[in-house]
Amino acid sequence: MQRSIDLGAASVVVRSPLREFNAQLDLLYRDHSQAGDSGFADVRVALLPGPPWRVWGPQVRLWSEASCPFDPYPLDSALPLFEWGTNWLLAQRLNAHVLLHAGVVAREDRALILPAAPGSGKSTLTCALHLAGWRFLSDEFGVLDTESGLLHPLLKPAALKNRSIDIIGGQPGAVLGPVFAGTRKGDVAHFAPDRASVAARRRPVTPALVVFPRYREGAALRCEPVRRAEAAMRLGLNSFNYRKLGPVGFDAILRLARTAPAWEIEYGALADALPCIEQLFGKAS
Amino acid sequence: MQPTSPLGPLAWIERYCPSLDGQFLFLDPLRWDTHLLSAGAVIVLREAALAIEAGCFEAFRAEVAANGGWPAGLERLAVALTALAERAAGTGTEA
Repeated sequence: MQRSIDLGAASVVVRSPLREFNAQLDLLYRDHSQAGDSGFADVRVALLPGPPWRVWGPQVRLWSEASCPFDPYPLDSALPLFEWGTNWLLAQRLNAHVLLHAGVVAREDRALILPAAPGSGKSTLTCALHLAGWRFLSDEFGVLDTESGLLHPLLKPAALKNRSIDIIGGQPGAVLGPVFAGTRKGDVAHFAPDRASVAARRRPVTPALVVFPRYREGAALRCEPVRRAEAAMRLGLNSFNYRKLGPVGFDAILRLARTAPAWEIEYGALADALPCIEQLFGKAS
Repeated sequence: MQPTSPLGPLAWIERYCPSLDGQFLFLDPLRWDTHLLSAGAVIVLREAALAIEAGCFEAFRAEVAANGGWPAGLERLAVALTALAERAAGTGTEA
């Protein structure tokens, strides 16, 4: 089966004969329009079973542009391979924009940007904000338009890991795919954004606030402003392609740092982080 | 690596070393790294750019060395600016 998935800022065509994998895509991309093949796609992949005589059991490979850029996964883990692999490929290819490594949510088309390194709790916080009423744009990519300064949605499911699966999965309204136990990143499950966010995936938002989040178990809430120049440096560091874009990326990040105030928060509980962020966002209005 | 900008060293600093709340960001014209600089470091870099454009950068380097040396990491950025002057003069070597 082949389908074209419109993510907003990018499109992906995926082909696979794996029935279970296709059923998982049906669930997680249930609100995306899925044509058979709409022509151009930023990323084209095929998830195909490997040869059946493998010592370590049946495997699945991700093919893209006639090559296999990644090691194979167990056959029943096609979805994590697809999600991780397409994220990697998108990060390599979407160089018309500055790609921030950030969660992005919005209220009334004003964006909260959450740039962070892996393991900072970015995806969990993004999903928690979404379940609290914010529009979901991405848990992974802040797609910054270098000309307009706006942020484009890139609507993919959020990859939740380990304890975050229960924390987010236990909240009312959360839709998660199956849990994949013991992957290279631990247990992984994918969170589907709501229908309204998917429907708005072609509508860009204006940057309003940058928050650098850091989850630390047991930490008391700490919230400090970040100076604009330091925020610009950190935005550049938390980007997939900032250096590739040179002066274009420099100008875009500078503009963002000048227009959106930046804060850093450290937290040990979402119940502390969410009201703090709401307050900061209200002040940034 | 060759810079792609037609700007000379001083014009580059004007364009790609803006101030944000008293701190400065500098875009390296060769490597496209960004550096957070103090006002003092920008003064030194600007003097280096003037020296490059006047064709006396080596004398400027000797003067800096005689006065205690460069602030950490700054010489590398000043040298990167020389590539802009070489490009403008058409004397840069191919990367």
